[in-house]
Amino acid sequence: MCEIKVVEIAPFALAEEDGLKVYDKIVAAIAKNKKVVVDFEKINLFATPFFNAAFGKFILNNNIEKFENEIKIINLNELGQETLNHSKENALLILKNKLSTETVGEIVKDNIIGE
Amino acid sequence: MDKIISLNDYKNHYDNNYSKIYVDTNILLFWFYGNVSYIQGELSNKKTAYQDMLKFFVEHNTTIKLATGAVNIAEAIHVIEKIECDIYNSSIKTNFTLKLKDYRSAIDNREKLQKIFKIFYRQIALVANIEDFLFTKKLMNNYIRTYRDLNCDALDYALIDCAQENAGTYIITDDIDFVGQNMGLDILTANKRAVV
Repeated sequence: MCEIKVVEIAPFALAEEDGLKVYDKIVAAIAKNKKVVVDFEKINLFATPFFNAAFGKFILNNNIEKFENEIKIINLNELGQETLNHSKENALLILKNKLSTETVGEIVKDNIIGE
Repeated sequence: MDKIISLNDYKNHYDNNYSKIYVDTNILLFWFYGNVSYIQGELSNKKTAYQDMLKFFVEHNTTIKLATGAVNIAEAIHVIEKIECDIYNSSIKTNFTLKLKDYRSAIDNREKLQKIFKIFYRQIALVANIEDFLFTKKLMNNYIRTYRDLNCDALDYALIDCAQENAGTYIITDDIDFVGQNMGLDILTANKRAVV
């Protein structure tokens, strides 16, 4: 079992950069056939990009079954849990619609850029 | 003359003095809208810089206060609606394109969007004060009267007015339209076109 305490990576679940660090630790643990527990104790600020980087990316690169079987997430408050659910649903939608993340990124860029 | 300050310069010269920083719409999207995770290239570097800045602000939240306008959130969720509609159209892989009004009118899409908006709003509310400011007749008349000499749009003008009225010290934005507006507010930005 590998326990990842998010607070040891960052005091807030805000930046994608920190979400990617969580992702890297998850992947490293699973490569060693360890189950993973990601602990959000003491984390009270959340941003969806963090969750996309930490967990959405895992679902996109593997599948939801592997995510549910190999990774347990604990000590999320209500908003954290909603954010996690949203990130999971978004990843599943991308998979279901056979979209590439590059296409999604281009669409976002086209709508945000121009300022 | 308003100073234009890069994010790194702000961090490196931060002196623990009180700052009230108004957050423009695109920055809210870089911070909290999920699908920004899939941006690549130079815009992704900018996004990372702004997200890194959010961490800095929150770490120094005893002296740095963040604020944004309810109207900026309105603008952001309109952008999100458009993005989600475009993503939907990209996924259906036919020549048929659903217009935004029609996309929004489908109950499944409304439920999905509502979920996104709720989470987006709640995440913002935890880090920034969401301020009401009114689009008054006086504001609109002033905007129209001075429009020829302005670069910014009406929503930007309203954010500037709100920041001026409420003791703002900075606006954080990626929008070059704020440059040269003589707001009495300094600009924090990762937009290289703005930072000389």
